[in-house]
Amino acid sequence: MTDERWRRVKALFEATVERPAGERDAFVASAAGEDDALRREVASLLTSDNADAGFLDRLSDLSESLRADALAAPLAAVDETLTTTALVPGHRVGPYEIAALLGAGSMGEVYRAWDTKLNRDVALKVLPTPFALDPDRLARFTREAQLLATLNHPNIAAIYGLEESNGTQALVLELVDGPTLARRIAEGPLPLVEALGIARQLADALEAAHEKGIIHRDVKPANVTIASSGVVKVLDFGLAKVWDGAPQSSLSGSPRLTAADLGAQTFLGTPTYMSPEQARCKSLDKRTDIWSFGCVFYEMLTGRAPFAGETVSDTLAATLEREPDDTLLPDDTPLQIRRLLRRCLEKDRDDRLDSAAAARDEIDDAIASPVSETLPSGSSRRVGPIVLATLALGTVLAAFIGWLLTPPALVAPVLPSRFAIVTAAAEPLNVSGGNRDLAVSPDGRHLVYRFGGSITFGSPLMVRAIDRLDGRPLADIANAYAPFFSPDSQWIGFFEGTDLKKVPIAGGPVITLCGFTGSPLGASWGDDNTITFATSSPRTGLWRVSADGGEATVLTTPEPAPREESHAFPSVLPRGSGVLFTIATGQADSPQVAVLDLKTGQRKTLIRGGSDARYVETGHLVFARAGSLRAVPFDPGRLEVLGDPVTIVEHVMMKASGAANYAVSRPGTLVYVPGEVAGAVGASGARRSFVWVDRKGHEDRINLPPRAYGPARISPDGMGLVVGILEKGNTEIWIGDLMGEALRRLTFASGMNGMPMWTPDGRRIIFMSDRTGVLNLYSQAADGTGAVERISAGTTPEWPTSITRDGRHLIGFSVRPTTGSDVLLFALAGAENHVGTSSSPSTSLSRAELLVQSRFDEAFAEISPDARYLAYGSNESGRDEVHVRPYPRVESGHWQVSTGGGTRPAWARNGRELFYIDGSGALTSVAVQTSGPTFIAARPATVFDTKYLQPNPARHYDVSPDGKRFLMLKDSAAGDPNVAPASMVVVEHWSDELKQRVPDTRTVSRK
Amino acid sequence: MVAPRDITVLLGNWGRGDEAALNQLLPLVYAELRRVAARQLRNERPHHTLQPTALVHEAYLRLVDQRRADWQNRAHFFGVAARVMRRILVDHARRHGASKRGEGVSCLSIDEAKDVAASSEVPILALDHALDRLEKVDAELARVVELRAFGGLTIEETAQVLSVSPSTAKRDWRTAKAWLNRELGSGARP
Repeated sequence: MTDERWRRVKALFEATVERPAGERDAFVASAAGEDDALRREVASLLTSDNADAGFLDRLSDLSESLRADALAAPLAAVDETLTTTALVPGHRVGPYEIAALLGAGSMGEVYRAWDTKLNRDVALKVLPTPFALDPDRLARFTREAQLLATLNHPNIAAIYGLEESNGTQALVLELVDGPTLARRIAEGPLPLVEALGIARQLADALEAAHEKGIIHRDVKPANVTIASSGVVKVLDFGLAKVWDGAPQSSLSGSPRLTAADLGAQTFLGTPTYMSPEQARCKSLDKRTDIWSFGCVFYEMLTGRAPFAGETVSDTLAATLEREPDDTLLPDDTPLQIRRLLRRCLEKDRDDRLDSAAAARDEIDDAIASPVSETLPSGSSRRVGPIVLATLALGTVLAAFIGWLLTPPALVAPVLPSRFAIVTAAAEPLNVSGGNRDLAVSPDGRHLVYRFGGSITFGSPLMVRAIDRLDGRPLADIANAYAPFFSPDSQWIGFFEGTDLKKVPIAGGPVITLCGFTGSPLGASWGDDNTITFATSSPRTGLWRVSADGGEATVLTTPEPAPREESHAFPSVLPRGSGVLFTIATGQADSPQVAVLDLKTGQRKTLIRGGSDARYVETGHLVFARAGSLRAVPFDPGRLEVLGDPVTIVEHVMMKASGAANYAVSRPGTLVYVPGEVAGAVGASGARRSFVWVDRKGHEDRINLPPRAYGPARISPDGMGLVVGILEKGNTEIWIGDLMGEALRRLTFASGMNGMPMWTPDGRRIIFMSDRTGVLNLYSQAADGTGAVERISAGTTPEWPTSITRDGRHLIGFSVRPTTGSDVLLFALAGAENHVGTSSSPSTSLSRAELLVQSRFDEAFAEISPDARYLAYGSNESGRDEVHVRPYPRVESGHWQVSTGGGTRPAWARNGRELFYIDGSGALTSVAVQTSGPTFIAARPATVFDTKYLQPNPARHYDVSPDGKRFLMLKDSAAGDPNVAPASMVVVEHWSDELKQRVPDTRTVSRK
Repeated sequence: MVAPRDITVLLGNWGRGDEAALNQLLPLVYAELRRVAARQLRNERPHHTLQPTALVHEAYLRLVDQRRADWQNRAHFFGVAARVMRRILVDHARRHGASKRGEGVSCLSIDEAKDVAASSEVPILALDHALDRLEKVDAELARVVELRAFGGLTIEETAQVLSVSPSTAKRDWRTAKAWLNRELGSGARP
């Protein structure tokens, strides 16, 4: 029906119903005229209008009760359809990629998923929306999940953690393959040998859980799987209780009504394995599991559950009143086992067997005794064969169980167990900066890691017991780097601002130990109560300070001759015999692991091509190389490596500095962050793209191909950019077209050629290069013609940051041995001299003038367009903030512009705005006035919150000439590696694996 | 969590015809209705039925920043709430119908279909479908039905939400009822 048609029908209908009933037909007939269809249409509506019985009139009542019903009763069902959409393959929940739906039920869906961090299959149990919506229930659930996650037993399917992502809450569970015991029993009773083996493992699992005070509450064949290897896994441990408290659990404690069953079938199933006290809704203890265990054991042997009835009430009656029929047990069932079953199935729990360990021991005895007692046979003629058979059985049984249980013991004492710690999305592991971001306490019980915070400053620290799901942030710490533990595991040391500090693990005041200059490069707390630490300062290597605080003393200094750039990542050997450390050299791929003999003061290189070494008490030196951990036997007395390194862990996150994100406890627990080598050549993490971002945060792609870009600067005409690109270990400068896709290479020196910027006339590029061994400043014509001109020849690395608009002065910074980073001023030869003339390299090198210097770090200085003010970053207040001073008379004024942390300032080209990156990593703007008698700054305002890459000490963004958009750098891979929540992998008993895989050859060689 | 202020903005946007705002509002209002319902159920006597009007009012007070609230916000909110209630009832009916024929049974025999058709939930589903059809014919009428039948709004409230006079709302309601009764009256529709 057309709109027009309907309008006519409607109008006529509405006009007609205003009339008395008796006149209506005539009115319609006359109004419709010859349009018979119209008449019929309106007539039919009139008929319906008269139909008072129409249910719409009853709807308000109906609706009332239905509403109540729908709102009150609805289970997950309604919520699911409305607020959660089923996850589809390929969808990601945090680091987990959904592969397939395994099952769904009233308590949510279970998916097979791929853990992209740890490269393994997991099961994700997605919580129904009511959980996510009810904070109380969620908190309760989280607590339970924490407890359950502490269960670490080969026969218990592990709970890895709880993942929260975009409002989806999911339990991350071990994915267990293999049929369930229910399916095996469906094929008939199990052979005695097999039943004993399964029951033994089941008892072992229950014992382990009961020891921790965890009751399963829902032991049944459907919750037990058997892998092809024969290993039994108990599923859904304790989840029956976790689900408890869901609205529909009107009979709390009754697993059949609250259990996390996958299908309606089991949900509605009979309470076949329910203990009498459970059936009576009494409070439960571990003995309810013993009952259920007895039921399962009985069913394995007989093929039917001891109290199974036709209906629920039959089953309940049997459970409460009847004794199991033990004549159904096979004749060869050992008496011991018959006794065990009876004791498990005592109706009064006070008479019942009270520990799973006792059950396990009984089964062990039955397995071990060569001649098990069986029921006396009715016929003496059969005695002989039975005894023989039993004898044989005993032997076979022992062999079978032996095979089942001992293989790990023969190969290695304990198999290392691995589990992941996934931090909450709101509190991601912070992996910014050049240091290790986590530490494990020497006693192996606690983990400390950097979390949240920003990507340009430090971050708070989280302490977490290794077997718990949640952590505790340490108070009063906001900008920490490189946490480390004291040997007694009671203190955590860290760098913050310009100080080395410590804090008790139990919480307490933060204590400052000493100051330092430069950036931190690791620290280690020795048995002699001193802390050895390292900084990026080029004139000093390792420092040592008392762990009670005081004056720090220099321990080593980098040697300029072999181009040592810094000494980093100290690790004090036990009993203070020496310090392992990393020597960074000019070449990116050739750091060295060295050791300093603290008795003689001598140092020697142990490994070439390795970094961030630690000593493990198994007698190994572990170090990082190209994203993997390697180990080599090491003699801490003679400070010698013994043999060749072997790769033992792959895919460990490394920093460009050589730091590797791993830690080892004294008992041999390894904790590491899986991931790429940050900034490594060819690493996928280093492929970045440029985007335009406007002031609303809207992104526009720039078509330049993804490369390992460094900081870029937009050309004065706004059409192009100049940028350093890391490729095959060298950084070269390229010029790109912001409209097109082309890049043109400008420099052809090897090594580092970076931090390029345009002269104001757009004709030349100023950059830094280490072509002579030290990072100095150079310039080259943007069109590639002419020679490269050297601007400076300082002895410490010099970074360019800004050029005055007249092109006469260049501003940069350099890290000085004594005063840290200082702002420098370089005179540039007149710009006109460069034009056209293929002049020979300038003979007049610019001597740097100090512009801003203090014992604090000043860097990223940028001159205002009118050249009246200098904006720069400094940590003089204890954290990085943006400051402004008059130029060139810098001492004549001083303003702090940022308030919540600030670094990497940039001026708008109209000079009326100053931008910077704030403490949270957000781009921030401050309206400023530079034309008046004094500098005036408004309050800072966030431009956009999105965090973009700001990897190394440089401004990684630029402002378009009109000030409307910002050139930002993004990782081409998923998200920013600095802020993407990373997980940590814990490998318990790793030292055993280490011993096995990297045997100490000394015993062999001494033969 | 979206702040009350944002809800006010979303309501305003929806009032100005931004359908995307509605999509953001629906889950928020839904969740709040559920929370309020759950709390009322916990606190009230057993067997006490929920008062939808009270429910929606409480949800409204909790969700909308009252300092910035005006009668338009309120009208828009009730509009959204009616939409949400419709979805809750329809989904519930669908589920209930499904559970009658048992989980895992994906197709029905003719006899089963008759049973299901005779159950009390079906009018809701049928009404839902009929409303969908009505919306194609006359969206305004469909809105009136939604507000009245599912949102429990009075004629006056309905008029406010739709920015029409009460007499128009009343007339529309009557026409819509006639249309729907005719649509639903015959059980033998294909």
